[in-house]
Amino acid sequence: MNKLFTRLLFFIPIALVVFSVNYGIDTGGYFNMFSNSEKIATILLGDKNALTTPTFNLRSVKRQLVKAADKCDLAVLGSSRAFPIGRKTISRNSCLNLALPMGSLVDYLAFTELLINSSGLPQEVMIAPDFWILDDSHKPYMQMEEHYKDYKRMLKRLNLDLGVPNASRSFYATVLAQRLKGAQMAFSFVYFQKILAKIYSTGLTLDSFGGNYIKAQQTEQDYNSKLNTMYPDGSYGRSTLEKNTSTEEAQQALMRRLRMGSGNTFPWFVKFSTISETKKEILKALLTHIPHIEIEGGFPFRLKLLYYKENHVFKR
Amino acid sequence: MFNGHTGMLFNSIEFIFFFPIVVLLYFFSSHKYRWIVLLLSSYVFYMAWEPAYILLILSSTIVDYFAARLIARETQSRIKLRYLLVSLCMNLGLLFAFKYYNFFSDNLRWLFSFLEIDYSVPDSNLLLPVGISFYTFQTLSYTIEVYRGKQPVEKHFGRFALYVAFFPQLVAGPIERAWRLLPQFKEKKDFDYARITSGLKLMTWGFFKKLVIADRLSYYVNEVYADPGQSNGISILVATVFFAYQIYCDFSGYCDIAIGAARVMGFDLMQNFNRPYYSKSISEFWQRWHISLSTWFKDYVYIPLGGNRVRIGRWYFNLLVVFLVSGLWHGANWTFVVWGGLHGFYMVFSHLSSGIRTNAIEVLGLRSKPDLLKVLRVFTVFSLVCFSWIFFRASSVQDALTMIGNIAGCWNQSGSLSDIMAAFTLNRTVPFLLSVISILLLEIYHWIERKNDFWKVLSEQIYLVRWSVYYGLIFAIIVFGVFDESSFIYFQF
Repeated sequence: MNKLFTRLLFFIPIALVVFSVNYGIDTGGYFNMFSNSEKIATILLGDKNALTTPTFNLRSVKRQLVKAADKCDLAVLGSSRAFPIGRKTISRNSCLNLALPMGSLVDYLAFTELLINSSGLPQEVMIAPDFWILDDSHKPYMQMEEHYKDYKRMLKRLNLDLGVPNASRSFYATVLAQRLKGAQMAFSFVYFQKILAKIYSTGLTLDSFGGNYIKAQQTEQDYNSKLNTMYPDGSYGRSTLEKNTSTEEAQQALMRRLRMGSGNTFPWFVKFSTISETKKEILKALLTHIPHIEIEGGFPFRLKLLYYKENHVFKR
Repeated sequence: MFNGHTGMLFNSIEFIFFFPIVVLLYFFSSHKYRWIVLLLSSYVFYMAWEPAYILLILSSTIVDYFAARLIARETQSRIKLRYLLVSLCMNLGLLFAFKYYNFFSDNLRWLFSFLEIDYSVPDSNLLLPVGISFYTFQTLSYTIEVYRGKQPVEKHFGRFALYVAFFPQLVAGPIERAWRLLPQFKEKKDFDYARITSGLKLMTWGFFKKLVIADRLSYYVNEVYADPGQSNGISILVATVFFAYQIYCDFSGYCDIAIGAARVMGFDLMQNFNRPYYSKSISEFWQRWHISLSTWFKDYVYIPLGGNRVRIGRWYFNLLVVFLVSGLWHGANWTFVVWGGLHGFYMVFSHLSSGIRTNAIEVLGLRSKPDLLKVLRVFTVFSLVCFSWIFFRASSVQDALTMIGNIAGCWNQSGSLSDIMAAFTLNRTVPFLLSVISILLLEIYHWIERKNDFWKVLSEQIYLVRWSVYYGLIFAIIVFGVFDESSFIYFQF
């Protein structure tokens, strides 16, 4: 048996080669999440677009943007449906898109407080909520709630300090998932193959190392990119826009996305008494900073009207 | 497909952890309890696909265990036969219910519609349990042999259960016979470095065939066969040859992993493939391809029907029945029936035309050129087998006929050299070349295997050569292997 184990040790160099390439070159940025976020934010603050790696953390990038950017006219909060909202689609000179994947109430509060503590709250805050943010019965979306305590314990061990009082649970989940993914990626043959393919197609340069495969581009005049591009205002272009789409068509597509997300086909009214205590507290905290939110008159979409009044029925 | 779950495939991360743990537990446990370790591991392995379906294996195990014991105890052949029929009905009934019911009901529905009979035939939503065709045949061979008096009955329920469910060969064979496998469970297996490394080498070769050759070829094949009407005749021809290698490498790769894994633990499973594409006749092909299945059909269908010890017309009938049933065993689709029927036809025609072929060989003077004759024979058999693979791989008989039409039509088409190359490579030269190179490497291996055992030859080389090959194989798997956990083709049977 000793002879077998000795012979098996001869294969360790193969594992080391795979690990070294995956960890060292790391074109996907699995092991350099936070430093990549700073790099992306620096590019955006230079008024350039950034082509991003598959693993970049939107929250981390947008936090960097909030901390470093000047006070803007409008901040956008919401979920992934609000990603395309930016200077072009809503015709504003200055806008900061702070929407997050599965962005919910706690994310709105977190970024509101961060804005207040950084450059200051903008004149307008636009919220594009999804229909499920107040609805606790929508279990698939709320499944992270029950893991919140575990994530907090895990992150204490990982010594992460987010510096935001009511950080989003989904961010904890994202960080944890990425750490685990990183561990898996370290010895992944699939990742190894992808890195080799990247080296074959683009060559091995210093930029390839440490997940630095982030390209900066000049600001584009239109939204004709199909790539995962982040724009200087924090908006995020997914592959939903076809080539040669006019600004008007892009705005209409955006409107459809937002209506779908805001439950246009659902009867969306919630009794205040049915909202969970946690969410009530978050909502109260949010509304102390933003006392009331008005409907944006007419263009380009209709927000849900939220009036805080004790025991009142919220309705469209 | 069976149940949509990938389960614990050999090329999955779960198996990479599962197998060493089982081997360690096996060797560290006392010989008396090793059957428990293996049996529980086998059930865990199977339940990774669908936990509830363990009940099916258990049902077959229990029924056949008691049926065999009752058969062995009984002296009257009439009553023995009844117990055997219970076993046959139970096992084949389950196979029919899970695998063939919907095929049967679809055809019945068509027939009723054709005859304008207003009767709605219900469908079944039962998912196909993985490996059911294999372990059913394996356990049936046991009861039949006990009935025939050729197999002593196994009184130890645990060992019998292990014979039915032994994980290396549970889901896709080889279909082992009780006289080969059962006694091995009673033998004490010591830790043997040479045997274990031999098993690991075979497993590595199996992974190479599956991940590097078969799964890479599947990209080309799937693209062409997905759209038969639009595919160019040259592409279809190339895809069919690629499929011949894909299915060979996929299935024989699986068997190598299974045989290698069993060998690591000290068990000797039967060889299931013996360079089938080097066959010089269809009859020889079936002695080299899926050997465990063809011998099963020979012993339990062909010979009981009379084999070739009957009138010539009945012999041909027997051949056709065996191959049609064999085709149907592969899947509940007319394409498999046609595939089986084609091979039956090849066998019959081969016999009918033997005189003419012998005369042709004499006339052409090929008798004095044995190497050329051999090459022609091998090429002919390979072409006939490839033609039948078109039906095996196509989604329907209609698609297969369309593809054959496209192949026939491609000789009339004109095109530039670049058009022809594009048809060959599907405009992806590098993957095409990689596929061709991997097939060449396979044939080099087969060439060496003609006269010698490749691994024995390798073990006689110097240290540098041996370890270069081992490292080369593993790096080839890491760099060129497909790791999307694609299942093995024969899992769907």
